[in-house]
Amino acid sequence: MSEQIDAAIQLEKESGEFERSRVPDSAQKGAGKFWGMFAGEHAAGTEFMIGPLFLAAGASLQNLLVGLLIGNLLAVLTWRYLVAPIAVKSRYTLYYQLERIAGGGLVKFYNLINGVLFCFLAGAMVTVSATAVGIPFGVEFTVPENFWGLGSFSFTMIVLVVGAVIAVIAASGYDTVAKFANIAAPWMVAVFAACGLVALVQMGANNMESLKSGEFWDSAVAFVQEKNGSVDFGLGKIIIFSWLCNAAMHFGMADLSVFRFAKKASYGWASSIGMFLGHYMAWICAALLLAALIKTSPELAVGADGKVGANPGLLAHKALGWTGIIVVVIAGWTTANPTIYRAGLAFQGMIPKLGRWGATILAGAVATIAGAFPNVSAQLLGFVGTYGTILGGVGGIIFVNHYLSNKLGFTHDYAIAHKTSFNTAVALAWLIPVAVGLFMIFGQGLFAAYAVIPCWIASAVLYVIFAKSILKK
Amino acid sequence: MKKIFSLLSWVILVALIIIPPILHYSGSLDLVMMKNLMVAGTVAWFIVTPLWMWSGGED
Repeated sequence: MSEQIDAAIQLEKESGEFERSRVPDSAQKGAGKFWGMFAGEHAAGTEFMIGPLFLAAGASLQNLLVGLLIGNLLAVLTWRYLVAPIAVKSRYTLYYQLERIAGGGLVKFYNLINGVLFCFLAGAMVTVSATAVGIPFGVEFTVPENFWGLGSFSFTMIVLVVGAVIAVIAASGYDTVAKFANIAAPWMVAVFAACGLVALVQMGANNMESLKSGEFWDSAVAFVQEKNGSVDFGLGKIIIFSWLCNAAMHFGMADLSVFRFAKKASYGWASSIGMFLGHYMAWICAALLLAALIKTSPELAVGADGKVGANPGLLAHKALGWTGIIVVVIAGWTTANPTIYRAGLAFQGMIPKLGRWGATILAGAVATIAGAFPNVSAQLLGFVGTYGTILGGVGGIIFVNHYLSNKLGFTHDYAIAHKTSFNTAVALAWLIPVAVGLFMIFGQGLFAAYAVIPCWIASAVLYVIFAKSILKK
Repeated sequence: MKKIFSLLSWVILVALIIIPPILHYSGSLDLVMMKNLMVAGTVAWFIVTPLWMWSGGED
């Protein structure tokens, strides 16, 4: 998701902002831009965390291979047929499109929520980088049992230093890091693939017989079951997770900001290279790293809590040595950079006196503090589902506004038509399903990603109902 | 000049980042040598690539 933020920011900076206007024909980009963008930006820091977490959650290899294929395909179809058509028609950013419907006041609230969530995501990426920085110093990454427990003193200090550096650079040199991320992208994709190949060799799975038997993976899952208790991450969960991990971007329509520069809706297919190069290949390769560690050094795969978890720095170092350390540091850093930058923009919108620099530092500080809690990154599978649940619903509202407002007889772009800063119908339609969704996730233990689509549908339906019943005609 | 650096970058990527792990997978290259080649390739990539990609280079 943060990769898409970077994409949107880079497009804006290259083409002029067009933050509150339609992107003119002259600023539209060719297909190659989008293919290149998606290719480079979905093999990132999050992949080093998410991939191993699949194995740590007990996913079977067969379910992973099939489930990620289906889920990522669904994600591509969502970008292509849900986001891109609206983006090329309206040519607005998500923020301005939402403002036109919901009003500036409600958009500020959306931005605040988005900014806080970004900070937690960036915090997880600070942790990812810190796991690699700690390797040469012999500092271990451990996940405490208590969610709000800190790691070791040394690791916490590394997180604070890494977070501070990332924050200052994001505030002072966003463009520089963004350019650096572009340079790193092809190299990173290649290194992810290398991780997978080396991991297979470490497990003795570099022949057809071993690959077909899958014993190298099954024994790793058995180890996980022994240490973590009976856990299962079945086919359905894998499909839903891989489909909806970027829900804020596609269902939530955040990628209107990217595809508004597209000449036609078919450019939505460009997301496929990101999904299959990044989320498919990179996740599987990262998961293989954990399987290899379990095979070669099982004692290292188990944390202080006695459970198998994901330690990206250790995993990559064991496979690739110094290249592994470098790739994890860069992956976490280049993913945190746009996330902190965008969170800073959101905070600046709420507190203009902070200025861009101050707001970005504030976002970086929040992210760094979040990163000091290892469970934030360890719970990334649940977090991205919660993220999509909270933000996805606004996409349903944008969808019905775009396609159904005239047909069903309620005002298109209500806030701008009636000059209001707060569209009550949007607030209710968005937040009621979110409240129910969060209750189901935290109160009833629902797997977070399962709540995304019901909340999206509920928001869309509720907006139609409230728009027709409580809004002025 | 940018085209030469661009070509050099891709040669570095293929020769030092992509091929070594493939050779290691096939049993033709030991792990230590593979790691050394990849580190060298990483350093070379980040020296050469900014020379053509920094200001926009190839799209």
